[in-house]
Amino acid sequence: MAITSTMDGAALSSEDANSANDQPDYSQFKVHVKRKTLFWMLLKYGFLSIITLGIYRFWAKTKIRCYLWSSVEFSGDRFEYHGTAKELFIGFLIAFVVLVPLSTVNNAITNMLVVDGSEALLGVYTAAFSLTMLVLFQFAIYRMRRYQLTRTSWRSIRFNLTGSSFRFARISTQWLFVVLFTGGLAYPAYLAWQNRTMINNAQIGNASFRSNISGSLLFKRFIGLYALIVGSVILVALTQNMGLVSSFISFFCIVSTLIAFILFRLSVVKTTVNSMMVSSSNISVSFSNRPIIISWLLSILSSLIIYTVIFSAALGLFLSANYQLNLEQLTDGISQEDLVSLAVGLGYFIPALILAALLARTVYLTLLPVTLMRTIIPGLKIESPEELKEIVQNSGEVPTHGEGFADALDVGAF
Amino acid sequence: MSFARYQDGERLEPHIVSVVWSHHGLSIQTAQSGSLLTFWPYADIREISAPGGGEELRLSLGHGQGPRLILSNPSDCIEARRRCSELKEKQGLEPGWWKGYAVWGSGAILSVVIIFQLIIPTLSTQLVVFIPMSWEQKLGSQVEESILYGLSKIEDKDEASMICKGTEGQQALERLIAQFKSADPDLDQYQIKVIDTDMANAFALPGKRILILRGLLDKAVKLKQGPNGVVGVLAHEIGHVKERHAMVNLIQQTASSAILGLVLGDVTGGAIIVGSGEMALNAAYSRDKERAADTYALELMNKAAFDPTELAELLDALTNGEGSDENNEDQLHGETTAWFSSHPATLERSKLIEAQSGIGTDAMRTSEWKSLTAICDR
Repeated sequence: MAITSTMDGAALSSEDANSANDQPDYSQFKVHVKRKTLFWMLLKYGFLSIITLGIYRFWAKTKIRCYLWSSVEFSGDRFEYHGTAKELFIGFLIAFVVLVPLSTVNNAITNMLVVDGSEALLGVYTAAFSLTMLVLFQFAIYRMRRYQLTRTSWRSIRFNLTGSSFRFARISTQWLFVVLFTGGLAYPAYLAWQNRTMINNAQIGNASFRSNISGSLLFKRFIGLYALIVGSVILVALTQNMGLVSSFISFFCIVSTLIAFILFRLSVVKTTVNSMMVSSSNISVSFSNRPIIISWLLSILSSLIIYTVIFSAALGLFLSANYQLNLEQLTDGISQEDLVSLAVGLGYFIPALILAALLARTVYLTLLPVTLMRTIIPGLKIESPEELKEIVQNSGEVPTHGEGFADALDVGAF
Repeated sequence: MSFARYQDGERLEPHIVSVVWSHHGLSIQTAQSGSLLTFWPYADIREISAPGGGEELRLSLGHGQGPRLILSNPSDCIEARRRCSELKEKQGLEPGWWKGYAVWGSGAILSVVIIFQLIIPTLSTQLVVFIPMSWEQKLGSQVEESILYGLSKIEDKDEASMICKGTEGQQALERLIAQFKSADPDLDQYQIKVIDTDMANAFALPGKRILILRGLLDKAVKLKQGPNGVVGVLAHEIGHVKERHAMVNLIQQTASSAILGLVLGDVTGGAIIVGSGEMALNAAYSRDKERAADTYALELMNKAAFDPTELAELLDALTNGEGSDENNEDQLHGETTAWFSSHPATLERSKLIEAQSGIGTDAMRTSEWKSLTAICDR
């Protein structure tokens, strides 16, 4: 047993100091996430969320975040997530109060305008409501990031996100109009503005992050994607009446455009990170795109296969063994026995559908996000880590409740 | 001598410390000078788990944010596990932990109950007044078209021939409505159509439209009834139309689906659960409207001096399956089911009608009733 004491004030030998201090390597990011652990967590928590009609999801989200955050290591120390389910739950209740009346009134007005048949009015109304939702969506994103950052720490030093959520939402929406009016060409500038704003408002302790990313840095990559999208649309339009060939071309165009879009977003990540600083230290990233593209294809394929297999099996059993519904029976009416049979059939068909969705989602989230973490995070590098040593705790205010709007509006998977 | 890293929660740079395992707790001292940084009682030390942690042990004082001590010397890790008996103790519940959940949870349950029980039913009844009748009539016309289309597919006929056009039968209906109007001057002009299908049912549609399915007339004839059973059903549907229940339903359904969607968030299978919840809620709302329409039907029959006895008999027959011949059992079940689906008849309902039975006369002359039952004959 190493009962050790330095009460005698003995000087620390350089070897001893090194043995305790040999872990920190400021240039090293590591990821310790395990797919198997994450899979069972997602499955278990997903199941609990379903049987509690969604209430458990706040606890599920918190536990998954704790696991993911703590699996990321920098310089020998793990990140920590300190959020609680209670904060998320209360945040959700607050969002509920705002969104319920909004959603109810919207449904009523939309129904009224659809039936009234005044298409112009419906168009104007839909545009106005979409705009409101767009602002709210951007607001939710910023609030979610603020909550997540203030609940994240490294070496017991908390992160933070300053700035106004309303301002972010307002300017983001203005940018989206610019994107719309430029036929999408301003999209890189919009992304650059959003990333720059978030990064410039982010802090660790008393140190600020800085970014000098601009739209022009992203534009070169974007124009290739833009040309591909326009080319695909023209190609699909020109070949639309060619039977099987049309289907093949459409499929090819959709897949290649999606891959090009992912490649563009990955280049945005690289450009953004490479333009970042924390304190006065540059941050850089370097990683290969290939594993991410392969993982994306695999995750989409495997979740589709899982869903289709379970859905087909359940539907086959339901139709063949349990209930034979046809139009003739409908004319004659459905007997009580048929109704019981139908209820029994639905009794396992509906749970099978939910199970299929749960498994497909779990597999998807176990594959792609883990690959993203394992590929991108180890490629991060902080170039002058000694600058970080001067950082002290952040004394800024911390939001008291969670990301209710993001939860209600389904922003973000975890 | 062994050393560890101590993160004090104030500065990012960790302290290199020495740890002293004393009788009562752990002394954390600076490695250079040996001055005491902090003292952690063993009972309060907790392990912070991290996947793939390797040889290191991460410790905190209690749960939550704050200083961390990272032991990398194996003998210190063993010592910590031996001395700190509550290392793996999960975060306990603080006194009064339940208050937040109780307050917010009760508030949430209360608000959901108030929303579904009070606000949606009340608001929908109030809001319906602001919906222009021209809009409701367009909706009614669309709904009628879709019902006729569905029934015409089942009956394998063209849509136009689904509407029964017997002139004398229509006149009988018009005279009946005139009688109802004299009993209740607030009644508007209704479009009442008889649809040529075997199903026994009747619908109140938006925009003052009522559909009677021929099967209902056949059922009354099979029971050797006079007109009052069918007239009672018609009065019930008029009750729905007068209160604009179809529109109230529409508002209630949109409100309840929006709320259920938000409650469930992005939970897997949420859409299916929302669908089932909506069905249950709408069934509950629907029962209240059925009671209101029953009450109105009885009042109207009473004012018009029509005996409602046959309505009770017709309801009983539809509920219990009487009056069928043995060869037609499936059809009877079909009729029962169809009637049940939109009109959940109950014993309470039959009793209500029976209480007012025996007072009044037939709603139509025999010849008019015959014309009405033959309205679909070509």
